[in-house]
Amino acid sequence: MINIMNNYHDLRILLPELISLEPEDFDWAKNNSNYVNNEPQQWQAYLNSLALIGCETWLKENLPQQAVKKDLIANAAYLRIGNFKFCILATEHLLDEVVNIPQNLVSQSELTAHFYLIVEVIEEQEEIILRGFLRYDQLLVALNAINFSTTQDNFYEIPLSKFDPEPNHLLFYCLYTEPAAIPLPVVTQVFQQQSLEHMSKKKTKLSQWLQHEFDEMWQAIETLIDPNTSLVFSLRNTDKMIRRGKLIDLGMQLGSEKIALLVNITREVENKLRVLIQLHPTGKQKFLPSNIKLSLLSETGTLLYEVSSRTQDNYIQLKSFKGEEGNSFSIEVSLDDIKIREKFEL
Amino acid sequence: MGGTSRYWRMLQINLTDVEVGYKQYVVPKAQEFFHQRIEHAQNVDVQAALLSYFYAEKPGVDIISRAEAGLCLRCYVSDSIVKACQKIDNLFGGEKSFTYRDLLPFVLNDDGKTLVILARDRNTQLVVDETGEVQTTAYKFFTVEVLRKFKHNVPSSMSLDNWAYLQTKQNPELKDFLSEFGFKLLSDWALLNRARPKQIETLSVRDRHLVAVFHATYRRDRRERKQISAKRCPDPSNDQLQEMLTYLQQRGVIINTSEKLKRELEQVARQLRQYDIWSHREPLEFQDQETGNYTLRADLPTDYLNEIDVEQQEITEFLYEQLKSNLTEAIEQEIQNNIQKLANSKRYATLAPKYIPGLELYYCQGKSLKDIVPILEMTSWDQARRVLNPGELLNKVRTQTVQKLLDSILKIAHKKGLTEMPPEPDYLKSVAEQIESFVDEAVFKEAGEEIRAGKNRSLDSLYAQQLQSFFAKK
Repeated sequence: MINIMNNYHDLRILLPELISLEPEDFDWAKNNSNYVNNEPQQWQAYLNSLALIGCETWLKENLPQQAVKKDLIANAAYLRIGNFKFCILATEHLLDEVVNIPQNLVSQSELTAHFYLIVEVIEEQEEIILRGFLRYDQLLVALNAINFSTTQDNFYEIPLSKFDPEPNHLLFYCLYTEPAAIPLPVVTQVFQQQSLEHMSKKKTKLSQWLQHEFDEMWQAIETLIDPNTSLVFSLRNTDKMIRRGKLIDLGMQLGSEKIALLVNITREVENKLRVLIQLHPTGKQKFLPSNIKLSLLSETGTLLYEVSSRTQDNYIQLKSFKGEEGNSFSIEVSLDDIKIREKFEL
Repeated sequence: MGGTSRYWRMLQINLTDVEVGYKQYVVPKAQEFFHQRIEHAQNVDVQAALLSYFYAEKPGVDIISRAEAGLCLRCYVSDSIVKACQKIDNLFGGEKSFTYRDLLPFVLNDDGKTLVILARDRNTQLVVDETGEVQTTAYKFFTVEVLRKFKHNVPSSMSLDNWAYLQTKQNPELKDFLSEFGFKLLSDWALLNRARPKQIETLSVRDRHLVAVFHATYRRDRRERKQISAKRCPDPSNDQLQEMLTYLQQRGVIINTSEKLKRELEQVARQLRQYDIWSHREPLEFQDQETGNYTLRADLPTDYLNEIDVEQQEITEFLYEQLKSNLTEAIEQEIQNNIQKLANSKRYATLAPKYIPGLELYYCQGKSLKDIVPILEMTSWDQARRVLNPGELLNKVRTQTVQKLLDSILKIAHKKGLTEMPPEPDYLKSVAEQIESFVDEAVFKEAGEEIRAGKNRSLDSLYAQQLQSFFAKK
């Protein structure tokens, strides 16, 4: 369209979105942080409350036709507009350009929100600045890139640059899209039960693959996939990449044909492994059956990523990710209501 | 600026430009080198090609070519440096005693003329004089230093843009400046109050105890404060200091008098003024990975308007047509909204009638907020800022203008089958960003710079003119 090279964020560098706080706001924040008993948690609760009430003011002013409700749950600040849920994160500075998000606000389904706003509270000047926000789906992409690694006290650290610096986009999402367009994790009964079942199942230790120690279920891919098919060339063949496959039996759904789950790992610097997961048909099949889902799940069973096969896919794959040795994840292959889960430790 | 022109236009300090502080200059030697050697090459990654010349990666590249490629890269990097300074300015939220213009002298020191190459071992800069002779130099161009230390062929390396940004933030003189002026308007107590684990862990064990007891007492009282008292963080009272002394005793830190404690706290605050301890962070994994955003193919046209098809062209024309009327409407609407908001508030109801007169003084007579205080009989600069708030009006007018345009464009796009209703979030974001880019380029960036320029502003932006004609009609 028009020349938009890199300048569409320039204005927010000149004129950030500043919201003034009123004396009543401070009273409200004081009352709502009193129940927290120690520093620095109480001060943080106070900041969260100030940020919350400032955001409520801003949203009410900019969306006068919509009802805005605020809530403090588990020391975190939330706003609701219709069925859109906002999680407000408060900080007193962003000079290090890092946003800290408590892990539970992302992984616990009751605490997830469609939008996560990072707000700078300038307490002395009685002002807040809306520094940026992420949609839940964008947040997952950002977290996936760091393999969901957390700090010692269970925070995710995300660069501020990953956040959308234009708060007006929040208004536009509320006006023109629907909450369903930003799916949040739903914890279903089935999911929970399977999580419990799989708790006891063995984990495949990927770092052992670097020493060429493989469990017998994981075979060289040439034994699973016809080397003559072009599928093999979809994998960039480097010496550093180690790959193995496992046959997955989805039972009656596919007759006698099985699927191959391919796991490719590459060692990277500082004890990190890069992982690429693919699903391939086997035997004489050229295409995967349609509607097979390949999912990436966190250690706690939260769905992080999912791809589905269409009618004529030679293979499907999850976007590659990397993480530190010791981190765990699961891969689930499902078709209709058959689900097979494999657990891994890097 | 965008496109390949970044490789032959350099940003340099311009003291006569009171609003912005820097100016874009064409560097003829860079432009020529770029046109002759890079532009017509097929399928070439422009930046990689220039870096290859500059770092003398291929044998037989003459010194002049190396230097001229370097000049192109220096132009490119100058833009990143200015952006970094603006970003730092932006990140220091709240009132401050400096602007990005104060930071430029430390890092924007390229003269856009001198030919420079790197020594074989990349340890020093060497100047190439008119006769083609190479000489050492005491004066280092910061742009060249950025290039000198850049590792571009390592798989996990950053983009040149990100690298330049990081180097600017870490420039020692810039850091010293920020350590002195960054928090100048923040009292010691405000600074101590906001110290977080990352800052606290840079202190000695004893000092950490001091901060901990300070937080326990001071933050508690700060939350409880009565609104009639000063909102600035005051000196800790004697009672507070006594309480802190008791807590310290429990922690095995013995200080005899509250006077001594106060001085020690001030010492800690002095340490906390270091810019480094607030801005430093561990490099995060994917900060370093940029794919494709910064490589420009030489053979691709940079005139974007030529690429768009008829539908897009229609949309662009529509935006131009609608902009002025939407802007006028938005100005009228938001001024009314602001007056209403003042009238409805407890604190400012009596000041609502001063809103338009105040803005008139600001936009028609070029008066600063400080000047306006006595003229309108306001109580303080702070009150004038809260009531008149030209920056807030600008943001609101912008939001309204963009929203009106977005509404129309979505309807057109839907009619033309370009999107479903409701649109996908990413599509919506993309359209919104294109509209924002358009209106900012046309109206709001200039208007924003005008406000930021303070009393030096020129008041001839399109936005200012629209406001002036609004006031004339009243």
